[in-house]
Amino acid sequence: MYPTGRTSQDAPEKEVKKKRIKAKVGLAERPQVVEIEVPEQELPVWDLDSKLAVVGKRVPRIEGAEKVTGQAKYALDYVSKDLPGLLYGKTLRSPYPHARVEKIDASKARELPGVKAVLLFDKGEGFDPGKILDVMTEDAVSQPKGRVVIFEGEEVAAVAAESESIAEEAIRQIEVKYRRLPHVVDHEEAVKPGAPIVHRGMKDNLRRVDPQVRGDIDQGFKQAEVTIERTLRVPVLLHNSPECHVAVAKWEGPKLTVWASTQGVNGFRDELSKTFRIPPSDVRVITDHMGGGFGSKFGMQAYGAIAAALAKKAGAPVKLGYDRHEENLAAGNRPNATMWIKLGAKKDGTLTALHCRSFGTAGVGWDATVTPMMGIVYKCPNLRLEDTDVCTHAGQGMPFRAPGFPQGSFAIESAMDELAAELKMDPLALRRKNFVDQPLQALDKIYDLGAEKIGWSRRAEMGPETSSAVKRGIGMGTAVWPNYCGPPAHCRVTINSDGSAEAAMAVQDIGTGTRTLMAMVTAEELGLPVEAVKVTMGDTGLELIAPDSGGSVTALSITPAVRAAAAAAKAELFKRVAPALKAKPEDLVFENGKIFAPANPRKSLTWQQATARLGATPVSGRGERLPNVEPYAGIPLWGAQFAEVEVDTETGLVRVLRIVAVHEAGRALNPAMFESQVNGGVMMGVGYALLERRTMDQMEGRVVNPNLEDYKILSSFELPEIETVIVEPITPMNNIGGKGLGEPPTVPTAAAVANAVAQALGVRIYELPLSPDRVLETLEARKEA
Amino acid sequence: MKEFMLFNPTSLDEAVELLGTDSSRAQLLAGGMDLLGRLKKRIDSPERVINLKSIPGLADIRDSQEGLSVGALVKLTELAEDSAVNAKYRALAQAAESVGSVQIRNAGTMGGNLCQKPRCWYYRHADFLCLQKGGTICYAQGGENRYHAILGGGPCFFAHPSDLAPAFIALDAQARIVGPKGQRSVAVEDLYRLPIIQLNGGLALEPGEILAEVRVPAPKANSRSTYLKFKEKPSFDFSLAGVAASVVMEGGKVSAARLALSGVSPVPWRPLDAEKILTGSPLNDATARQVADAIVEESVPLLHNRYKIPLTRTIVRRALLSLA
Ligand SMILES: Cc1cc2nc3c(=O)[nH]c(=O)nc-3n(C[C@H](O)[C@H](O)[C@H](O)COP(=O)(O)OP(=O)(O)OC[C@H]3O[C@@H](n4cnc5c(N)ncnc54)[C@H](O)[C@@H]3O)c2cc1C
Ligand code: SF4
Repeated sequence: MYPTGRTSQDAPEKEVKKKRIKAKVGLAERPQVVEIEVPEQELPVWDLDSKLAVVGKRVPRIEGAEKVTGQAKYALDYVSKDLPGLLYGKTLRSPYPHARVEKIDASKARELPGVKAVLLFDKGEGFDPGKILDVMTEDAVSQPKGRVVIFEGEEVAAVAAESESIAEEAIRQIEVKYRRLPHVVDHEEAVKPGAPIVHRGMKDNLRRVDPQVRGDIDQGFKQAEVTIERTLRVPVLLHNSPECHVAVAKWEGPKLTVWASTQGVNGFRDELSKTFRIPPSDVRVITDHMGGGFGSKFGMQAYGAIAAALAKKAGAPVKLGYDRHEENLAAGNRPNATMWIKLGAKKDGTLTALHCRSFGTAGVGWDATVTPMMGIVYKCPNLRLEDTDVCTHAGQGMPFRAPGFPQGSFAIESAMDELAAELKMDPLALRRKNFVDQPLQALDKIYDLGAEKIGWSRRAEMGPETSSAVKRGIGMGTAVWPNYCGPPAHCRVTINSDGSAEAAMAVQDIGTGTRTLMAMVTAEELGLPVEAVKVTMGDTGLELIAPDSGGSVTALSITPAVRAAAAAAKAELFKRVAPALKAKPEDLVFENGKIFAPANPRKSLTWQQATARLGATPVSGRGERLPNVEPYAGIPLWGAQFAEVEVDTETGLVRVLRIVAVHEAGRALNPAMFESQVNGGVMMGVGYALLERRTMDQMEGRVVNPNLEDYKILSSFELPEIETVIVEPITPMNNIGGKGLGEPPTVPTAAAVANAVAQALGVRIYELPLSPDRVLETLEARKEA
Repeated sequence: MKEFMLFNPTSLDEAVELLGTDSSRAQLLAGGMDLLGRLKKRIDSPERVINLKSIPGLADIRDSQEGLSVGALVKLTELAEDSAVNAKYRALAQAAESVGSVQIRNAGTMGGNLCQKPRCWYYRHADFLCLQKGGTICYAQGGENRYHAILGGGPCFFAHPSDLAPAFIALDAQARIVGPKGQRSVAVEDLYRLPIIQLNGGLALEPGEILAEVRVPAPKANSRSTYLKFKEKPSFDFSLAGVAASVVMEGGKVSAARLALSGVSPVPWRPLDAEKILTGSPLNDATARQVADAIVEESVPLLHNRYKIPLTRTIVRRALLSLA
């Protein structure tokens, strides 16, 4: 997901004084000293010469014990014991993909004992959560005018009741009269003339995104000595976060508090404020722990709006969540795509032209773009990248870990391998030939390490020619994701009289370890052990705004601010103890457990002695994320993955044996957490490659597998051996020296697996997933040919 | 799920009485792995749920010289781990082991496994009122049918999900059934009827009947059996094609054979012609291929499940060769 969370509190640009500093950056084995210009208050970069005690170590999650012992509280865990009078909400959803709502009668539901609020959404085409106050009615019976539902699972009404089962029963008691209208759920059908139109007022279902153009594509193909042209397809994927969408809303007079499973408390708060027409300061959104979002949990969405509206109506707190079925209809998805791609190259492999035309569907939503990845992954002077969104009568697409990139990766990496075959060139050599060279970039080393660890040379013995029915192959793909981290982020660090410290920030920990990173950076800057730092986070009430978590932005948007806050708090502490040490605060240091002025080392205080002097007035400091240092911010996050697979040609079963995942994120803040990100990304990527696909019945326009039985995700047994290799080119982009890592590990996985499968079989499957039906059908077709 | 009354009978007779003969009003509960999903999705909304687990004596595995007796409430895990079953009725142990996940096997019972309803995704989706649920059309036939039947389909095309049924059929097992009209014994094979004959989720139990026990005759000398199942997701999945095979060997040739398949037909599929080819032949690759070809010969694939033909061929061939 691209960064959001630029909120109403953003300060206007102010004139800043700059200074020039030096930093020793890049890879340890080829360091470079660079001079950069930074705001005057910026700290020196933690560079190759910095000796760090905590950052860079395998520090376990500070909330780990709380989580594994079941004490960590998720929004889903709230019950009436926590919030007296808590009611349970439930949403009534359209069973049809396209219909006019002619009548809604909730009189029976309203009379059920235990039902406390009923809302009918009886206006508009589609349900817009931001307009909930305008589209809802509290009448028991409504004869809506013009209310049209445009996908299966769209919100039609909602209730709040004393128990979940009453709420469920009440929903069933609401009678809705629908008149069905023609629908289209397949994007390849929806582009045809005469297809039913999804959004009224549009002349067709298409929205062409402005093409990305570089050089002259015709010229590029003229220069080419070899061209290849292919069409590839990827399916719609469902996020299936462990914790479904859920929010608990509580009003106290005009003030609203929401406990939400969200990737962005700030974005959620701002949308609630707009929707319910109350100032942001009257809204508080809290996310203490959350069970994954992967892009599907930005903003208030229907769950937030409906929870708050029901709570207001009922005059009591309301918890509203989606069950797995609802989640898989209405909580977002990764759009599919049909991608036509054409590559042109010289005989030596130099790319001369890249043309891609892709169309895909984000259902009733927008943004099925897949080509941005292709524009940055390899060097190509002439390109033309064209994306078209196709609307269909299906749940709206949402960002899904590295939006558009895994799709684009499958297309271009498949095409690159086929181009390599055409050129009789090694596929990796073709990548090296066209690799994008940037300052402080380590892609060459990434390729070297990956090839070495997977045993790239063993490829020669693999492929279809072996006598066994089980074939092996090795393939690879390049990972890339733009750097989006940056301001704003604000942190406060407090040092208490007992020697402990507290880091506070509104930012949420979506399961990636943000909380631990805040503690680690605070501990590092203060010179304390991690255990001495407490973290308060996930609460807009802190007023310390931070980005929503997506797009690999969180860690390196916030940690520079955390470090600055810790440094400021330490400076405050020194101010307080300087008189006792008869020194100037700026001369003091904290080293080897003592605070002293190097000029007079005999006069010192231990940390405990110093903080004890604070008494009842702890010190605190604020830190702010300063702008990125250019041109380094323009360098993406790079990596590469290498896959080894085994394909049973008689059953069609693909097994991924091994993935070597080589990634860089600038400084690796915590190698254990680095590996976690890679493991998760690879797991999702292998699922994309082998199993996952939303399947819709065309005739009825419904999802037939909105569950975890028929929508198959990888289990730990199907996980390949994952070897994570960390490459660490320190960047001077911020005071920490790091970039981000959330998205890249899932970008090339499916492509690498597909390339390995193509090598194993000697024939390529142009559509994901590479499931037994596809493999067998492809092999049968080859037999017949 | 809709509220219901839960009954805990202590005898089969009492259970039969509580069950009555209207399945829309009362349903049996064993491990609940199948039933609970249907109740939650309101595929079924009975008024009464009759818990079989309160009845003593239905959870035993007994092996004797005459054969094996498996009580309806025997857990799949127990079946998979039982030493006598593993030693003498290998297909059954392998079939039990292949079901779902550890958790499903710890809760799921033998009786529930044989009596489970279709896993067809249209059947399990509350908003599709298909033939099997009293509607007028089969959505799968012209719709999304990659997991559906290639043999014996029509007018309903679900693929029978039970792994135990083919194993029992290959082992020539008999089911003991109690019902309003008393007790009867029937071949496990005859517990199922093709949808062309009857639409009852494939099951041929009469209204109000309860499966009490399955009896497997003792294996003949020189016999062996196996169950091989192919899963799209190897750790945990229903059968895309599976076969149970039981053969008696005599002088290097197969003297008797029984085969039954899962995942390819609305019933556990017994390929009689293929059994004939197998009988009297040596167990080698050529025979295995012939048998496999004979099984898929009559298959009628739908739009998205043609791949099940080569898949079934492979599974049958490999299962037979594993017995050689
Ligand atoms: C995720 C998942 C995966 C699964 N995977 C597999 C698989 O791979 N292979 C497979 O074969 N099955 C699978 N199953 C299906 C099934 O749940 C199990 O096979 C299990 O054995 C069912 O037994 P149970 O005791 O839990 O049945 P229940 O749910 O208790 O009962 C199933 C049905 O049979 C009826 N019934 C139960 N006992 C009797 C009886 N004695 N007489 C008459 N009727 C009875 C019930 O009324 C109900 O309709 C899976 C289920 C789930 C949820
Ligand atoms: S295959 Fe059978 S269960 Fe499935 S939709 Fe058709 S009739 Fe219903």
